[in-house]
Amino acid sequence: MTPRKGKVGNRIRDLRTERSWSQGELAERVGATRQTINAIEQEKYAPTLELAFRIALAFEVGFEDVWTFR
Amino acid sequence: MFYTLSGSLKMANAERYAWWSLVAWIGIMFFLLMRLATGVANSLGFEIVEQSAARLLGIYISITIAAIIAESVIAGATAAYAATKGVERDERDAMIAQRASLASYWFVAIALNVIVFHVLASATYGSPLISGLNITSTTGIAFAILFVLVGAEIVNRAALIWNYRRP
Repeated sequence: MTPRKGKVGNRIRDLRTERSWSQGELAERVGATRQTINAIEQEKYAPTLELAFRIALAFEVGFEDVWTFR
Repeated sequence: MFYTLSGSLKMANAERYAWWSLVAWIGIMFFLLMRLATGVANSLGFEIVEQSAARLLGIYISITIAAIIAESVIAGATAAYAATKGVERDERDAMIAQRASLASYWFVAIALNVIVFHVLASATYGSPLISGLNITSTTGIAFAILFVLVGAEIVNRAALIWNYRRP
């Protein structure tokens, strides 16, 4: 069976806005550059599993509260 | 592509480095074409002008020194700027650098194959396939190798920029 194609989505912008964090602030918390956070938010870049977990941990929410696959 | 000053300040550090480095390597390519070929104004710069061995050595050393100085200054300046801006490089930068390396690898592989084919076909049929591009002489060999090396750096920087900028 061929796995279905999909796209990794996220709620980073919403979660960030709720906490009044800038992209730079989140970047600093997760050890990435602001440009990478911007690319992830715009769904131009799908992060590695490690960075995805670090982002969820930074927001103190579950993995599935940040990441979607559609 | 044009950027406003504020736009350029928002670039990733690695992209800023790639832009300046691209300019430097294009300058080095122009220098190479002017010294070993007829120059970009004539025959696209691919008509090789034979040089003495001593002059070739001087050109090679000049290009090497220019490349070392340019890369050191650009890398140093962009790193110093990034040091004030938090994280300097992350996994996305590494992924893009890997893609750019792959692009320059393919450039080198294709260019070397073209050169080998050109030399063998020219020897087989008696005259250079591309008029003026005789790469069997010392000057020709030096030009071909330096062209591929400098070209690979240009392709690498262009691929870096493309990967940062692509929609």
